[in-house]
Amino acid sequence: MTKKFIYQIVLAGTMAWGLASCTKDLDRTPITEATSASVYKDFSNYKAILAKLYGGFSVTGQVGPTGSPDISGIDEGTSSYIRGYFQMQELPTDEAVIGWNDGTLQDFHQMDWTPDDNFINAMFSRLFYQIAQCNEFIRQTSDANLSSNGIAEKDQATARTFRAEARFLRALTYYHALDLFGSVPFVTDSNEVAYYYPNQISRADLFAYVERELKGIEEQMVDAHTNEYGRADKACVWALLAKLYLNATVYTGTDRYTDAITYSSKVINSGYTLASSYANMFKADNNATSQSEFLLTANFDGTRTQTYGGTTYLVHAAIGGSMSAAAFGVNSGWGGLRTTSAFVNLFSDISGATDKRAMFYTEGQNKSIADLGAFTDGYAITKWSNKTSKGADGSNSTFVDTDFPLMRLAEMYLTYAEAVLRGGSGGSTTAALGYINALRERAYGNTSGNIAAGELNLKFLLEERGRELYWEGHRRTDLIRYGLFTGSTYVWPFKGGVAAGTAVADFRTIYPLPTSALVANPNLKQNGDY
Amino acid sequence: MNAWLNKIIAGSFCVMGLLSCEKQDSFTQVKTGSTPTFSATATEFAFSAAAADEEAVTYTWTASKDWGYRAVVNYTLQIDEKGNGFRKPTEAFSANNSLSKTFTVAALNQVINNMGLASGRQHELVIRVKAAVDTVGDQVYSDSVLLTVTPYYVPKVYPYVYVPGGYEGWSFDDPRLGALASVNSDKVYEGYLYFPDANTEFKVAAAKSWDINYGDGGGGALKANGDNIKAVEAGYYRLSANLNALTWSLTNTTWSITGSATGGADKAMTFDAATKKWSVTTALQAGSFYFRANNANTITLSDDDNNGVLTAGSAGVISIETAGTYTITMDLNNPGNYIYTLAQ
Amino acid sequence: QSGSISGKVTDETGQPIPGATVFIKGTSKNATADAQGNFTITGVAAGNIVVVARIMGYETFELPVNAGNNTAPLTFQLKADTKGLNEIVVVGYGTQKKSDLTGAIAVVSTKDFNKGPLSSPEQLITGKVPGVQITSNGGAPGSGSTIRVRGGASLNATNDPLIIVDGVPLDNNNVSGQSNGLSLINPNDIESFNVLKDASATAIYGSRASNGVIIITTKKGRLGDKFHVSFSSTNAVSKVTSYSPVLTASEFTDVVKAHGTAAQVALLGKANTDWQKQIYQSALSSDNNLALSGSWKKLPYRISMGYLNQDGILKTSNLERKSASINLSPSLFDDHLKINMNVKGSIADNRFADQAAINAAIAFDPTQPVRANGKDFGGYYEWLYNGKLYDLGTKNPLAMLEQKVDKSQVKRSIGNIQFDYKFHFLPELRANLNLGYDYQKGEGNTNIPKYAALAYYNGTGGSYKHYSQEMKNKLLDFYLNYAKDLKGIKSRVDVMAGYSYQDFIIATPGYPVRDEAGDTTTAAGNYSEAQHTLVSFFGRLNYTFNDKYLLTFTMRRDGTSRFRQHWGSFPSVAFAWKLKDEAFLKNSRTLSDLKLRLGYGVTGQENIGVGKEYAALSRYTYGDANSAYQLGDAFYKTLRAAGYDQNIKWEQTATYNVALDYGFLNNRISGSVDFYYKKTTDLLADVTTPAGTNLTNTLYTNIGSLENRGVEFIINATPVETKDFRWDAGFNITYNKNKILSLSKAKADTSVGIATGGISGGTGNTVQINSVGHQINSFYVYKQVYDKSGNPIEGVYEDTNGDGAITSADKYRYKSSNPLVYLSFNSQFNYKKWNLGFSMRSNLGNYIYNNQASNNGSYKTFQNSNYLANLSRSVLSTKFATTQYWSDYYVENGSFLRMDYINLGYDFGRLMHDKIGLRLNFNVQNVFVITKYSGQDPEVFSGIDDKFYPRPRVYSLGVNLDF
Repeated sequence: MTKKFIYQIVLAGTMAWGLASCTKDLDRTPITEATSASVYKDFSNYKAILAKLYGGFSVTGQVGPTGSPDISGIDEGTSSYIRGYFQMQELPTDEAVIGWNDGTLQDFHQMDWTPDDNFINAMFSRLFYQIAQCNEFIRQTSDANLSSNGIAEKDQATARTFRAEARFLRALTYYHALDLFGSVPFVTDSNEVAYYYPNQISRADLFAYVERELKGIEEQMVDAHTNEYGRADKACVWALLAKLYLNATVYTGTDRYTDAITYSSKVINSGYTLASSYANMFKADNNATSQSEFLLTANFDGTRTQTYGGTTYLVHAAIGGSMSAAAFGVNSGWGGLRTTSAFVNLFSDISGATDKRAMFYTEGQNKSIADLGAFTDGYAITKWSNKTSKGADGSNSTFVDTDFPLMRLAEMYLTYAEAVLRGGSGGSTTAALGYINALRERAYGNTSGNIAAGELNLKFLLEERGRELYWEGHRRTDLIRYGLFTGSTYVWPFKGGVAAGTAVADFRTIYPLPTSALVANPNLKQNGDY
Repeated sequence: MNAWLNKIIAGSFCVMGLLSCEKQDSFTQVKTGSTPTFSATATEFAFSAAAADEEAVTYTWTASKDWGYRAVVNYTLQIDEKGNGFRKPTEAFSANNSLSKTFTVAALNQVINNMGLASGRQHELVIRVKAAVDTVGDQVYSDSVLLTVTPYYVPKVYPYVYVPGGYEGWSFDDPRLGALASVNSDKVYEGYLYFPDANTEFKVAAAKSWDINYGDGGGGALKANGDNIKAVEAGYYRLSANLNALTWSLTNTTWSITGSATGGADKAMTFDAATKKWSVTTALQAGSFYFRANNANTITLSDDDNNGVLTAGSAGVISIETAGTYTITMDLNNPGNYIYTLAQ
Repeated sequence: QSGSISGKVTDETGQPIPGATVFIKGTSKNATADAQGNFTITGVAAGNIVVVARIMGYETFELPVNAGNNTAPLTFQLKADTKGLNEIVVVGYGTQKKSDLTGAIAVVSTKDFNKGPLSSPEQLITGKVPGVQITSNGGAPGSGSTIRVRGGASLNATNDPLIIVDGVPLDNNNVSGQSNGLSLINPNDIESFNVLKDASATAIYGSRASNGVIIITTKKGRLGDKFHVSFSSTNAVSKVTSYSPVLTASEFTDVVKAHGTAAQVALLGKANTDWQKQIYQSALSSDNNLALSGSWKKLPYRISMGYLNQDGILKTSNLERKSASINLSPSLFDDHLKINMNVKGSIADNRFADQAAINAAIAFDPTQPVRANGKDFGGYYEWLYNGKLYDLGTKNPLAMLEQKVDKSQVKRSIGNIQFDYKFHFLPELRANLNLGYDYQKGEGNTNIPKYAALAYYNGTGGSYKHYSQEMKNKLLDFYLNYAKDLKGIKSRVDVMAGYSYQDFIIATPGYPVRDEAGDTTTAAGNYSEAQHTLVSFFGRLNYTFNDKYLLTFTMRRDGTSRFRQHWGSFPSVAFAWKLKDEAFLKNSRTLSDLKLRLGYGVTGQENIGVGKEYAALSRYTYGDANSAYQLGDAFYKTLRAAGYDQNIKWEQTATYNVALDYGFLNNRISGSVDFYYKKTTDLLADVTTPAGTNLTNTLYTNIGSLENRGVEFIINATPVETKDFRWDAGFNITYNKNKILSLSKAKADTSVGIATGGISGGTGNTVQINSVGHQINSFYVYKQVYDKSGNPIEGVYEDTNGDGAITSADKYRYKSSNPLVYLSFNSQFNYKKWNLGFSMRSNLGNYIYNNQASNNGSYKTFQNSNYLANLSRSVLSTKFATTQYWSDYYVENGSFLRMDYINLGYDFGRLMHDKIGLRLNFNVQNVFVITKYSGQDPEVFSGIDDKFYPRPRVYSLGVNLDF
């Protein structure tokens, strides 16, 4: 008995050593998550990943409204692409001020931001997150990978279209990086996911890259007006090229107005039409009412695409004072966003009775801003709403249904006109005048707002861009192109941190690279005089 | 045994002592800083318009230190007439934390004119630098340096408010935009405006923007963001606005000259709508005269220091040494800088 | 009838011990031995008595005697009481004599445990071990403590020590529904804490030991014990002793009238409500324990049951815990096979109070009443705007507590069976097999009815949320141990080699959030399950030469599934020299012990937290139904690629230790001094990836290094020991300083640092920083300038970088939340049947950012459009108009002296014909705190004082019955 037991103990010891052969237990793979090795073998996953690339403009993580954030270390609502882009494009201009004391938020309209600015870092992180995700999808859907993953030929054709769209989204994101930051780190799908230090690309080279990419995918994109709502088509490629060329002088020093005319014309002639109502373009059912004008949207839904960024931010933050949140289809106002008197003065009639684009709330609001922190200082803007065109509420009273138009036909009309006036060839002032008056007829409801040929000039166009495209992320770029963003030629309240406005140094036409990005990559050099 | 017990006791007392420590290493208290040393590259100036863009003088001063902490020190240049003891200094320049300032001829000449000193004459002035931190704590001053200056005439620059209205298209960019000046910098503003049409409406704006604007509050009161103020009749108006008491007054005026040189009678002046100036060509005898509105002494202008600039009041009359026919022109378009010419 | 007893007291060598006390137990009859050790006691009644001889420095000797007229002379031969030196301590995978230790190990056992009602085991040893900092996580029941051994070695990976209960390493992560994993173990079942502090002691645990190891053993039955029943009951009442300083109703009214608008003045109410008194209560708790132990035939056993019901001082918070444990420890085959089986189980029912109510109570307008007219919002007063709830306004704190029902139940079972077999043919060889498990299941509900103001936000339907989580931890340890005295070469060899396998699974289902009607308002999250596995080989060699020179060498080879590079090696070496046994000290009568210890070792850290099991792999996660994206007419749940670093690996910590153990007067005075230095490389941290290079902006990977250095000093003494009176005292002091050495993969780290320490007040605002060359969590603030009266000037800061402007570049690192020095002093007095004890603790050099003051201490605080908010009293001093979050004015010295408890006990002895033992004790916990900190409590581990559940003062009465 005892001997037998000893034998068993020894056996147990032998068994224990034998268990060492089970070290393959160390090779664990996720149980409830997939890995890239398995995800890309199933074609039905491709569209879900593509949805993530498009969704990068809208949601901030995998759980709506917050949770499992894409970008860490930053408040999730703040890390929203649209919210960050709005803040960087609108707050430093005459179009918007915000009253919140969050960190350095008010540095935007005082135009004294620094490389340590957390909001600039959030946007920078969001841009390069988007680029990295697009790169990964492009990498994984290369023709070689499609074959090795056993994707059917019928699906491969679809996958190539998806890949072209991913390249478009990457180009669009790189365009934003070019416009906001100038010279940035440069990574493409030929780089791997690893820890290394990318080189910096100059602004002019980045311009050339974006141009090359857009022309490279043009034929692979589906025809204009034929893709699903919310997805890019050829017209989006043309529109982005037109925008790129219109600002080419700023980015490269060489003007490309003729190309701007060429590509904006392509968009204009591709079948898109102006939506019938200006206000409806910014309401909860704008995907139903205004699809004819929208080239590309960032989609939101109060139930299924929830976020504290995007249009949820645009609607809530712009409600305060005596404004009724219920009138905008939401449950509360966050009391932040207003505008300056300089913007209000673009409209001769601020009541909206004539020019319906004048969407102001003035009751109890002072036109002038004495205290940036007081919502009642500065007229409120009522453009963004979670009401439908029929007056119903959106699907949720906290999260907004309204989609954000990233590109719409009106911008192409204005681009065409400006490129003609700036001397590009291939267009006509007659056509330009027609496009401008088409916008104004929509706004006025009749021809009473039409301008004569003699009134069509660059100054007028800048003002018209303000009236038509305000709070859609265009103003900073426009003011820079006109040479008014810095310097003293044009001042608006709180420009340069002074209530009446003052001159600002030219180096602020480009944002600084965030300090954390410089620390993370020793190859980067800081922009300008930061 | 005693040794370790003493250690315990010592340790405990040490604990109590540590607890009572103040945070000495971080207590930064403001003190009065050191006096800066002030110097200038020139002291005598005879300015002329031809040399307006030339460099006149560079003032430099040493940094004011020892404020108790590493502070952002702000420096301001002050000028006063010699012998005044800087009782009522003019703050010529706010240098922030710079340690020098270079003036061009035009810039320094403007400062002198703004002080109200007559052009074409030599004046003895003193200048110094004031150092202060963060609007708290004491201020310290350098020694002063002498300036002997002969300025040429330029209009004074005063605090202004603006009068956008129907007469100029409600635009802040229109050259016809009228302005009012506060010659005493006391928020009491005055100026003259020509309204060619009846029922002209206007408002008072604190700057060339609508951020802060005033309208009709009724009964002569100004109201922030109020209704338009209306001038029922066309005419040449004197408009005054008191932003302390928020009141306004509007007077339609016609002008004449009067005095011993006119024989005591009012010689009516004619208004030129194109130049917006008043003028009269008349025979004058030796004596003196002044300008007045509406044939009454309520609104009068004269040259009391005989420098070609009109100021309110009938004292300091304009002298006519030789009888003859004169053409007299009055220009009230530049608020705070009313001038006249006398030509034979 | 009486007689006398006489005799002699000698030591082990027969030498007389003069001055020894000899007495008859239970009586006052006594005598003192004379110079020859002789004694006589007169007046002794005939019968059975127990005679006791006792003198300090020697073990007490009890001798049963049948007294009569002609009692024979008694001889007492006393053995030297080398206190502590012959103790057996638990080390990794075995035990050792304390005198043979080469590493830094501290032992706290039952007699040294802290007293009073304790809901969590680590409270037993708070302040008792130098180098070990235990900070309670606030006053909530079961909230537990943060434990740091010598400062912690990590930046972002866990800094928690590895905890092993009866041989089973616990998973440091807690399942949903419980706030502190250790709190599920009944403190009354614990026999000892053994803290392994330096690398030579911890390296045997390799990849998880960088932050130290705590080994907990539980009580067991003993062979031959009689059946024994022990019952204890402790009932306590907890009271709030400190409140956050805010304005009173009249003060607030004055401030609003002076600084507010007419509309704001109109909002003032007429009540005088102290909201903090509304939300706090005197809390009752009852802790009852029953233990049965004995030996059934040859099977020793111990069975215990515990029931704890503890209310929190914040209304509605409660912990109810039922626990049970069984220990069986049979020996078979002539003691060649020892089996030790433990099973412990507990069920903890928690109701969590909404601690946001604490901030609401601080901020709520004191002029408003608790209840409003009408039934809206359950009858509680709430801020309204246009007749509706003003969502942005402060919520009624009492309503927050009463209306939110947040309950959980956590079940946990820890068990193991250990076989220790000594071979018959080779008695020096021992085989040990340990099989164990740790299973946790937690689930709970958070319910808010639709009438509650809290639920208003989500559309007035109410909020009903369920959650659950399950964790399984399986263990197999096996080792062989060979110990042999080699007398020929004056050596002793002790060799051990072993294998360990541990597997962890955590599963988290997703549940929807529903409203009162049962409709889903938030779709369920994704189900998540993750597994990770550890495989290890380890060995240890202990070599002793001449019983004076001790060498220990250990090596552990660890494999983890978390990293692609699975394996790491963790060696250590330690040397000890018994100086007391050397010729030049051997005969010293004063110095009873002196030992030098040197140690070096490498340990690792692979616990990177739940959710990072696959940090080295490219993973894809589905978005939930609320983050779907519309393409065309369909909404797609998105599929996201996560960032990863395929080269991620362990953190490694190298530790150096130099120490002296000493004793005087037969160890009547004893202690030790340890100097240590720890350097951690390949720190695991969230680093900013170079833009665009990874699928995330921050990547959890290896970067940087940090160091901790410190000194520990401990002294224990018995100043007085007489027949009736004994005084024991202990004092320990620790100095620890940490510094970050590098924080970047890039060669030149020019960064200002990594911002940390989020505060209340503005999204994204932080006040701490981790920078190279500085302490972890240094405060990063502006230098406040004060006026000539010593008052802070609002908004005026020093231009520290001298660039002529105040920008973020002027911030400077000022102090840290980590204490530099911690001290502890405890004392026990025993007088006849009475005992009195207390424990005091002090932290020096820890600074606190007073976020309550910075966020609520300016006139802007109440100046909201549609509601009023109360102010911190600090505004009366600063008179700030707006918030100044980054002023170093708010960084206050948090040094403190705290008396943790004072305890008075009386031992009735044996009653009812020797059948029942009775003992009573009265205890006060958190007796007082001395500090200059202006806030509520200076002991804030994070260094940021915000939303702190106050620590109560607890009065308790305990009864112990033994049958």
